Amino acid sequence: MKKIFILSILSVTLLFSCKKETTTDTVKTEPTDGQLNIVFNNMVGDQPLVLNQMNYTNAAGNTYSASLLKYYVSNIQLHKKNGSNVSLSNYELIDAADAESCKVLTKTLEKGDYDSMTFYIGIDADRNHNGAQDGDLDVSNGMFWTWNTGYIFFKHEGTYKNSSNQNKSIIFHYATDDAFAKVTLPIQLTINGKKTMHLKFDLNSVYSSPVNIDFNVDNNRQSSSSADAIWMANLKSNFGDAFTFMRVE
Amino acid sequence: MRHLSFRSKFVLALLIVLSAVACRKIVEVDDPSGQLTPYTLNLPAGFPNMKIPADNPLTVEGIALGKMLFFDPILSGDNTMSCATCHKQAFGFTDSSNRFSTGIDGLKGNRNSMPLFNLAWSKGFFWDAGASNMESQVVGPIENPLEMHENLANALAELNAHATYPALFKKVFGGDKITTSMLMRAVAQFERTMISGNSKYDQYVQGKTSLSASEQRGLNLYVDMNKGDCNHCHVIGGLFTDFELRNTGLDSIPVDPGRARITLNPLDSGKFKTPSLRNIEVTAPYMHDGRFNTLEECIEHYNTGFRYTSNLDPNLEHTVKGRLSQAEIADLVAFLKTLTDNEFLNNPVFRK
Repeated sequence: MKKIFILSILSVTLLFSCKKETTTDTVKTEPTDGQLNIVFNNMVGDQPLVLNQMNYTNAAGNTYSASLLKYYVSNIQLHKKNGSNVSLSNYELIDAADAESCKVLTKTLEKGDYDSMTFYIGIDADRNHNGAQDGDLDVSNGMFWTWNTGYIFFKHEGTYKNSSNQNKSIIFHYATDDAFAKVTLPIQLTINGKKTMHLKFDLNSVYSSPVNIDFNVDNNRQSSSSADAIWMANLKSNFGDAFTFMRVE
Repeated sequence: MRHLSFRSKFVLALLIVLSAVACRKIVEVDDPSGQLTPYTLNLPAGFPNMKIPADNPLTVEGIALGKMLFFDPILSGDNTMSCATCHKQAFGFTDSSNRFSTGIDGLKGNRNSMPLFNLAWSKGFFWDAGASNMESQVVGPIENPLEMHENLANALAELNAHATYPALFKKVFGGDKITTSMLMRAVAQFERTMISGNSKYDQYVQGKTSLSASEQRGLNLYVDMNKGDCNHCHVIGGLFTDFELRNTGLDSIPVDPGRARITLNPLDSGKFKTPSLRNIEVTAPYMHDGRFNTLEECIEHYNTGFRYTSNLDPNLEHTVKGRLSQAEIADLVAFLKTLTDNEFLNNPVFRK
């Protein structure tokens, strides 16, 4: 009898704890709770980002484009006014070329008023150096260093016009444990049914607030040389301002 | 807790342990086909236990799949090179006498092909330990433009379209599609079974054979801190390395940044992984860049050749230059050759 009891506990425990940690799109909605989808709107200033358009200008006055924009958002948490926290999702790869990837579909969410959220740009040190992984952390997503086990947290590639008005390439690969960047956002979210919350990610802000980045100086930074350290520190501080709450639908 | 019966406490403890263990899993692992055979490792005497990731237990079928992939050129950009192209069994799974190996595009790499055995205990992979685990290491050479130069998504598409691979992967890992993580896990399983521990030295330790007079003198020099002093880093018995990364004074200013490429820390400049000395007779040329062709040259480097770099390994810094005579170097070489494991080098289990 005791054996059977322990065995059943064992199987139940394994059943629950072995659930995949990737986000799932099929979520049961409890009638008493709400459900939240989060949309990351990739923009430049007030304009939605369109890839391969040479019509953006950063604070340093550089005209530029993005041919590729991908980043990892991890450990999304919502915070209630009363101080309680809800963890929503673990690892999300946002790809500007794939609208579906910009939507984070969350689990059933407790009713109530949420006034802030936190998440990270990048992958925590523990998971960053782990072995074989699937889903958004699949190493064939083009966001993984095979020579130095770890993920690229943020990748922007494109073109800018240099001071002689010539088109030159931009390669920004932001990575390493030191680059793991926390973002805290005030939000106005009341959960009482199915809601979609829109967040804005402003690419211009990554290069301007609080630290201006001039592409004539920084245009090929891959987080793989000590010469990249200042650029990395600047981006890390700028990520804090790059996201803003837009609206809830 | 005080009011709980012993049984409840036991179950609670079991629950906590199970949750802790189970929650570390990223990928569900079970026996999807119900046809997997657990693989039992027979570790040589003196070897430490092998740590195997919870999400990649060894199975006979998984190992066989990994072996098939190891020898299959499908993983290279133009399907001409496999892992085995530069990792040949007879040479301890190094690339014979090539200082640098040539990739599919005719380009040469910049470090010497590493021996492949007893890898499960390594703290990192590649000469700079840049890959932190065996699964992650697998995709490095596949994607490296100087090596197999294949796009992973492309390799997966080819595997998924293959006549036999989809069924084999499904049997081992389940799922309807082959994923990168399955590829990584399969090859890592095979690599974990590449164990070498039956050299003449091992047989000598077990009392099955004896050493010649020269080999015995070499052994004494190996462990003598005022002579060979090899034992500090290439720890005798078991793995014959501590896997630490060291600057061994090869260049005053390192051409290859070594570990500093990974850490960006100048103190790690020119540091490379300490290789095992098992099968060292057949893995020439030596050092991360294959600069030495003979064991005599290697020992001479540690005897007189090393440079006093600012981050020279302390063990080496404290040795006295010129402490070994030519006769003693010859004895050391004789001892090192007792570390050759002919059973491993000829074992059909590791042959295509």
